[in-house]
Amino acid sequence: VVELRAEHRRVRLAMDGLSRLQREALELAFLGGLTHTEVAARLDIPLGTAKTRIRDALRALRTALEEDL
Amino acid sequence: VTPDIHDLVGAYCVDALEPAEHAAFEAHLPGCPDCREEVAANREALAALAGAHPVLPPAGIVDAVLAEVRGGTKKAGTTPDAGPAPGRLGAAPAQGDAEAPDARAGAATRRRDRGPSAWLAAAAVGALLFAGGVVVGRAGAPAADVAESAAMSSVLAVASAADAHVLPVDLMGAPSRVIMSQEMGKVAFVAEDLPTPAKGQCYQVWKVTADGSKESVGVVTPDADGHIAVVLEGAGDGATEFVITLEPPGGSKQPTGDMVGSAAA
Repeated sequence: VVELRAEHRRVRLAMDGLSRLQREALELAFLGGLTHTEVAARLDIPLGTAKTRIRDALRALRTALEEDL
Repeated sequence: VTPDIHDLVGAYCVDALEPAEHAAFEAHLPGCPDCREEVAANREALAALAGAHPVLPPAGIVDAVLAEVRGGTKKAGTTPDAGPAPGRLGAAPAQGDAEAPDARAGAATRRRDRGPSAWLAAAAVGALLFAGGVVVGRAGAPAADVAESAAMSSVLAVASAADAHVLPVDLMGAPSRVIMSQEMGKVAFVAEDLPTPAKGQCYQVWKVTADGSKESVGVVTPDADGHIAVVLEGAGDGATEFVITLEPPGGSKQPTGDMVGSAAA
């Protein structure tokens, strides 16, 4: 359980490392299950921006998780 | 026209592409090592994000639970007198309309025909805790009666907590599980094919702590088909074992009846 909490915290810290905009887009798409079209509409941003923001968010998440290892 | 198909890789990994783009990207993927690499890396990160489940809930039960949520047909928790309904807990695996979440990353990123994968929907429920933040809608979710699927959603929330433990319960041969999350402070109970208790009896779940004392976590009643999926009243903190006994209606303060099942925490 302690290890799991540590893992949970690690992911949460990594998510904290994302910009607010990236985090928002990723949460809506991944955890919220929206399509990127819906993410764009929800956030009132162009579709292309939603695409790149999700991609950048994942990149930032990966980086944060890797740095932490 | 897609300006740069590589930009779709992120949305692809979170299953957020529209069907046409999804197809286009999958056609692109085999010929693009860069994208393949990025997809693989993202899957790892997303698996971590989806929650490090130490044990994935058993496929059959989870499928049934997820199908129930998607179908939103009825409350499966404590409704002993509900009549047969399509898509109910336990019916799905036979119908094969629920896909087994056989791999964390795979399940998190595999494309479903419609809307977010059920597992993502589960993650979304868990995400309310995880992200501590926004309540977000579920795209493509069936027009489910939210109230009716609330019990199941609560079970899913526990099951998708990052520290969820799924404990198999030896309960008279009925497939059943205690799912507990310390972080949430919750214990859920899921069972299939549980015999209806003799008249004047109910199942009661107890938490056994290190000193051997027992504390009630809640009373559970299978529906007409022997299904239970419910979040119990009590917390699971400090449990070394869960035991299930048969008790008089409404339950007892301390176990009085026969022990019919147990699960080591």
